[in-house]
Amino acid sequence: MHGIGRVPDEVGHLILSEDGAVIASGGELENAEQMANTVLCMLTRINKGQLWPGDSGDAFKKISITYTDHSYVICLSNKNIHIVKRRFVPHEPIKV
Amino acid sequence: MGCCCSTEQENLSQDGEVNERTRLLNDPVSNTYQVTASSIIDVGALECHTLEQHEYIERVRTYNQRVNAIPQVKTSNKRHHEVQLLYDTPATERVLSAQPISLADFNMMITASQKVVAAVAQIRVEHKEDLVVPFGIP
Repeated sequence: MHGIGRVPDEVGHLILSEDGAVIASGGELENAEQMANTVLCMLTRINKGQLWPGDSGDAFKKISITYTDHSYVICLSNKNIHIVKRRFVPHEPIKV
Repeated sequence: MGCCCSTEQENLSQDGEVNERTRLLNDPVSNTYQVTASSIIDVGALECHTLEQHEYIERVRTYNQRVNAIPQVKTSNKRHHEVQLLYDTPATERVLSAQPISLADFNMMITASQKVVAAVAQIRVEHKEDLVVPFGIP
């Protein structure tokens, strides 16, 4: 069961089935149907081969939409679409 | 007022010569027939274009070469409403918990995007030559 706290800085989560039905939601993404629709549109309608013609064509591991203070991380796992809203706490690169 | 209609029968010339009573337009049916007859292509009467064996093999080889020379386009066999952008990974938490992009990269992206937007807004057409020129055909 997906719960708050398993992903660092998580403030909301949303799990969709592969065809867009909401399976679970919580936190700031509770009942976020608009978000679900937007993400589903993005994942199903964009043809990666057309956007990046020179690319190898492999699909992405995850997609992050990053704003100044929060980000949405989207991944596909076990046939479900996982969306997590995280506080954006940028890490400075460690300078050796 | 009245209309001017003749009730007389058409008085065609006896020897077929053109006179003042000849119809100005030809009979439309025979006109169509003549046009069709002159345009018809008799497929059965055409020469037989069978290829000889070596010609056939040669063409097969040439066409295959041309087809294979075209760069392959990866077309997804997924249906329109299936997820195309992401691949299925079992490591849900690990992927979701991965470190976000660094502040330096984030700022770089923002700056680069702003520059792109500004650059696109500055695209102009430079009028250098006349678009329509008179040809000087001697």
